[in-house]
Amino acid sequence: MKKHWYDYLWIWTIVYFALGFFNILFAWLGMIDFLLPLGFAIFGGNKWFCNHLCGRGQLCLKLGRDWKCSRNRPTPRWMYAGWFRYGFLAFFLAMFGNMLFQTWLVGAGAASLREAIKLFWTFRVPWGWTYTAGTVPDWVAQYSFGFYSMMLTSLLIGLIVMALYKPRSWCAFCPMGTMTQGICKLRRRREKGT
Amino acid sequence: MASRRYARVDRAVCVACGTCGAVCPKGAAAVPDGRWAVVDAARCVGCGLCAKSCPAECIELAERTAEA
Repeated sequence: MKKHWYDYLWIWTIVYFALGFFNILFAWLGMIDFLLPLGFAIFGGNKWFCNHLCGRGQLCLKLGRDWKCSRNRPTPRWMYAGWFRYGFLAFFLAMFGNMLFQTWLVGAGAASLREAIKLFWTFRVPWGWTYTAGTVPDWVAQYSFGFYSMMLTSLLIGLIVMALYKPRSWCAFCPMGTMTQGICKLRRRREKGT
Repeated sequence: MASRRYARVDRAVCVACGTCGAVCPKGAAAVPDGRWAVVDAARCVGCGLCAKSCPAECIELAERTAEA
C-alpha cells in the first residue's frame, strides 16, 4: 500500500520523548497529541487521529510486528472490556486533574516546583537536569514535569502490553481512544435523534 | 474471484483503534465514523491479518454467504 507522510509519525514519538530528556519544556508539545484527537472527534465526528496520526500506536506496531518485539498473544478479555476501558479513563482523568491541581498550587505559590517526574503515578525520578530554574514561570515548568510523567508512564504501559500481548494492545484501553470513541458514538446518536 | 472467507467485525467490542486499517494489505478495513471498524467484504481477501492484529479480538473470519 502507498505510504503517506503520516505513516512515519512513530518517529515523532521517539523524538518527543528524546527531547524531554534534554529539556522538559518540550513536554508541552505533547498537548498536540492530546488536543488533536479530541478535535477530530468533536468537530469531525471521527477517530482519524487514532487511525492515522497516533505515533504511539504506530511505534507499538513497528516494534511489535516489524521488529518482532511482541509475543503476539491474544489481549486478555478484561483489557478491552467496557468496565476496564472506562474505569481506566476515569482513573487517568483523575490523575490528570491532580496534575492540574499541582500546577495550580505551584502557580499560586502554595507549593514549590518539583523537578522530578513520577512514573506509574508512584515512583519519583529526579529529572532536574532538563530544566534551568527561572527560565519560565514555575507553573509552566511544573506542568511540563507532570505532563511528561503522564506521557512517559502511558508509553511504558503501552510498551509492556505490546511485548506481552498484541502490538497495539494499548489501543484497547487507551484513555484518549476510549474518550474519542465515546464522543463519536454520542455525536452519531445525537445526529440520528435530530 | 472472491475469497471463500472475509473479515467480520463485532461492533459491540470494537475499540475503533484503526489497527485493522493499518495492517490490511487491500485497504478494505477502515473506521469511517469513529464508532467501529467496517470491512468492505467485496475488497476483503480473507487473509486474516486484521483479525490477527486486532487488540480487541473483535474480528473473525466468516464464510461468505450469497450476500457477503
